Formats: sequence, structure tokens, C-alpha cells
Amino acid sequence: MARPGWAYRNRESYWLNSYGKPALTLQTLEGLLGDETMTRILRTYARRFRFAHPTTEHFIATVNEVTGQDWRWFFDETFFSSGRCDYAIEAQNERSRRIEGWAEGPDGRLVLHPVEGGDRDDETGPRDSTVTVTRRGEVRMPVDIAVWFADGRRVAESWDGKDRWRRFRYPGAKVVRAVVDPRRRIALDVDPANNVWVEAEGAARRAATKWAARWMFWLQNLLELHTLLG
Amino acid sequence: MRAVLATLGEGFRSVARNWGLVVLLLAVNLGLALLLAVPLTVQLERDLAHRGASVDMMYGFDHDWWSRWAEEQEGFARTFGPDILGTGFAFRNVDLLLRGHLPAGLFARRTRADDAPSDDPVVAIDPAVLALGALYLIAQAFLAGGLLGVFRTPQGGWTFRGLVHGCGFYFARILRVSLLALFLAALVFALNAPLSRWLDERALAAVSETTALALGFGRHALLILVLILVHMLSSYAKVIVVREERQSAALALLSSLGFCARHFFAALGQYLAVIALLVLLLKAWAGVDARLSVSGWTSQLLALALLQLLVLGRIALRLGLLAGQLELNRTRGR
Repeated sequence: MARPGWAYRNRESYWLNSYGKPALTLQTLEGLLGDETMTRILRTYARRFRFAHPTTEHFIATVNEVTGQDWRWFFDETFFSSGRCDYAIEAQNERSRRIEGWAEGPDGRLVLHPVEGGDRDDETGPRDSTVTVTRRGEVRMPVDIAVWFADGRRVAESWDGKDRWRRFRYPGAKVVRAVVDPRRRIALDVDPANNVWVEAEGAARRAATKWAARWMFWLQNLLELHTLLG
Repeated sequence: MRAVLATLGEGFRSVARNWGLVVLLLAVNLGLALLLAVPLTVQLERDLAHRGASVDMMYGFDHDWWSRWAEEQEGFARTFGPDILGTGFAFRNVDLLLRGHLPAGLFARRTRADDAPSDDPVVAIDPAVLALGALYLIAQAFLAGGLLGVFRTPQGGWTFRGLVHGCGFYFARILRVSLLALFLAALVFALNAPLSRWLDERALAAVSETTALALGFGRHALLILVLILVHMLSSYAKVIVVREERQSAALALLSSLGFCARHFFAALGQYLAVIALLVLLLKAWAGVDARLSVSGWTSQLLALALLQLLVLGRIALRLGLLAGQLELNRTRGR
């Protein structure tokens, strides 16, 4: 992104790296820093370099100065990288593992734990859950994670996003919805559709039949239009 | 005008007496469409499973999800997009017709833009969809003889065996008529290409926006009108093949040309009346469709019934026109 306009491979590459990606990068920076800090950065930058010819380095120096932190890593990941940014989330609910039958108790003596009858895949039993957040692209960004449980609780997590994945475990709780970057701070995420996981499977089936029926209707009419030419 | 209404009225009465034929044609149409719709359903369900977009897609249309999903698609699934919503399907289909993609992409102009891979699902219409269309055209050529044979009998009534016999008996002749009609359509598209270029240049050079729009719409309207005339010739040729037991498709087409020239306004009036009815049907359907919020299974069933009703109505109009043409040829033909 930080190269002269004439050095791009083609017009599409120039357009993408000069307009689309810089806008999304600055929006992401604003998401991470907050609206107030970003305004101060832009105000300082605009006042300091008005009627001048600032470079990318001048902007990075302004960001570091206003925030009082080193944000070089952010620009290395965005301005000076062609990597993709894509975080995804998956969750799994499993039946809680319990001790059944004879087993050692806390004092070392054998204790009989009751064996529960019925179907082991019973939907009503207690659940252990895992939520896995994956970094599918090369760009590393800190992300927030929000997890909703069947009992109405909500948990907020955070991850520095440096590894390829991070797993969160929730014993005795069933996850119904999990979202990575719930406040949509990472505007650079190329696939926001995989940022949300929902437990309900019925929605996918109903949505699929609804839209496939509509597409089929289009196709039926297209077939019928063929008769005009025969 | 009276002849148009009388013959069309008789045509629709004939269709009403043989309403099972409309259902049969709907079954053929639906059966072919299901060949691609079922795999799409499975794919959509798999791709939406556990996605937050599944809920959004259930209640509305998640454009973000779709745009990302569409980028990854190969084949006929690429043709799924929000432009088929509401009456958008009709505009997309007419657009495909005018660009020459029907049937089987035979008449599409090979420009540099078309050679390059395109993201536009209309331009990049999938070969599977085009092949299905070509198959449908052959199926309709097969059925035409049987249908005309049924409409020829004044008392109505038909059997499946009798229908299939009529279809097989006239199939070769009617297929030849259809191929000749396709050749005429090819000529129309070949002549249309330089005319379109010339009119587009005039439209680009036009000072007034109104002139540019009139030229653009005018050339499309002209193409549709000429295609209707080709269909009229082909349709009356099929009627003549069945009514007069003609062997030669070329002579039947010539006879059809003579008949259409002698009764041009009555023949064209039938088309205009059927198109007007089709527009009314589409408008009524769109009015109901816009008020139906589809999410659960009950509303989905209702929506599906509504969609199929429109296709059924469209097929009934086509058959009504065919029976009306038979009636006009019977009353006015030599």
C-alpha cells in the first residue's frame, strides 16, 4: 500500500490500495483507538502538516505521539503488508462428562456415582462448550469475543490475535451464540460473515429452502421464456 | 378486435376444458428446475449452517454474506443473487433474452468484455442453466404436436396415451419448424448487432438524455417485436402442420407467413392481449408477494404456492395463445 501510484501492478490494484484499503485501515485504527483519540490524531496531523508534503512515516509518528504508545506494529500489518485480515469463530456443545459407577472419591475411598439412564445424546442434559477463534489471514489484530449461553449469561473475552487460533472452554454451559469482534472494530476483516456462530441449525435449513425456492422460480420463468424462440 | 377476443376466448375455454395439460406442463417445468434447485438448497444449507447470516437470510437478505459467498461460487450457483427478488426475475430474464443468451447462448455477441471472465451473473450465465433451457425447448417441441392435437378436437378431453402419441407423431416436423425458427432468430440477432452498435453510438452522441433513453429503449422494443413476429410465424407453422397434416416444415412456414400477412392485426392482437394479461398477472402476483413475509415453514409453503401459481398462470396463457392461434387459423384459414 505504501508505494508510489505508478508502481502498482494494474489499475485495480492501484484503486484498491489507494482508496479502499486505506479507508478500511483508518476505520480499523479508529475502532481500536476510539473516536476521540482518532480525532485528536487527525487534527494534530492536519494542523502540523498543512501546506506540506507529509509521508506515511509522518502519520505513524503522529499516531505514536498522540497515543503515547508504539503503534508501529499496526502499520506493519496493514500499510506495509499485503496480508489478508480474517477472523472466524466456531463453537461446539458437548454433553458434560461425568463420573459414573465406582470411582475414587476426594478422600481416596471408592464411592458409587449414580449411573444416569436414557439417551446419552439427550438435548436437555448439561453441556460443556468450547469456542474456537481462528485467524485465517496473515494480519494480526487484537479482537474481542462475546459469548452468549443458553441460561442467558453473556461473557466477554479478548485475544491478542497473534497465534493461529485460541480456544475458550466453558464447562457446564451451552453456547447459543458466539461473535468475534462484536463491535465491528476490525473493518479490514474480509469476511465478516464468519464472525458470528449461532447454535440454531433450523435457521440455515429454512433460509436455504426459502432462497432456493425463489431461485427455482427464476429458473422456471427462464425456461418458460425459451418457448418464445422455438 | 372482435376476432382477437373471440379466438382467444375460445382458446382459453379450450385450455379450461383440458386444464390437466397446464398441470402437466407445470410438472415438466418444475421437474427440470428441481434438477438444479435441489443441489442449490443443499449447498446453501451447508454454507449457512451455524452462520449468523442464516438468521438474517431467514428473515431477509444478508447482502454482506451473499457478496462474499457469490465470489467463491463456481457454476450455476453464481446465478443466485438479490436481483431475482420481486419482479427482478422478469427483468433479468428479458435482459438475458435481449443479449442473445437464450437458447444455449447461441446468439450472444462475442465482444471483448464477454470473452473476459465476468462477475456479472447475467453475463456469466452458467452452461448448466443454458443446457437445461435447450432441453426445455426440445421438450416443448415434443409436446407441441400433442397439445395441438388435443386442442384440435372441439369436444375436449385427452388421455396421456393419446397425448404422447400426438407428440411422437408430429415431433420430427415440429422440431424442423423450431429449428427454422431458431435460424430466423439467429438472422434477427445478426442484423440486430450492427443496428444496436449504430443506435448506441447515436445515443452516446445525443445531447438530450431523453433522446438517448428513447434510442436505447427503442432498439430493445424493436428486437422484442421482431422476436414476437418470428414466434408468430413459427407458432402458426406448427398449427398448420397439425391442422393440415403437412409434411414439409419449410412449406408450413411459408404458409404461416402468408396467413400472418393476411391476418396480421388479428394475429398480433392476440399477442398483445396475452402480453397485457401477463403484465396484469405479474402485477397482481407482485402485489401479494410484497405483502408476504417469508420465514417459517408455513409462510414458505404459501410463498411456494404463490410462485407456482404464477408459473401455472404463465403456462396457461401460453397454451391459451396456442389454442387461440389454432382457432384463428381454423376460422380464417383456407
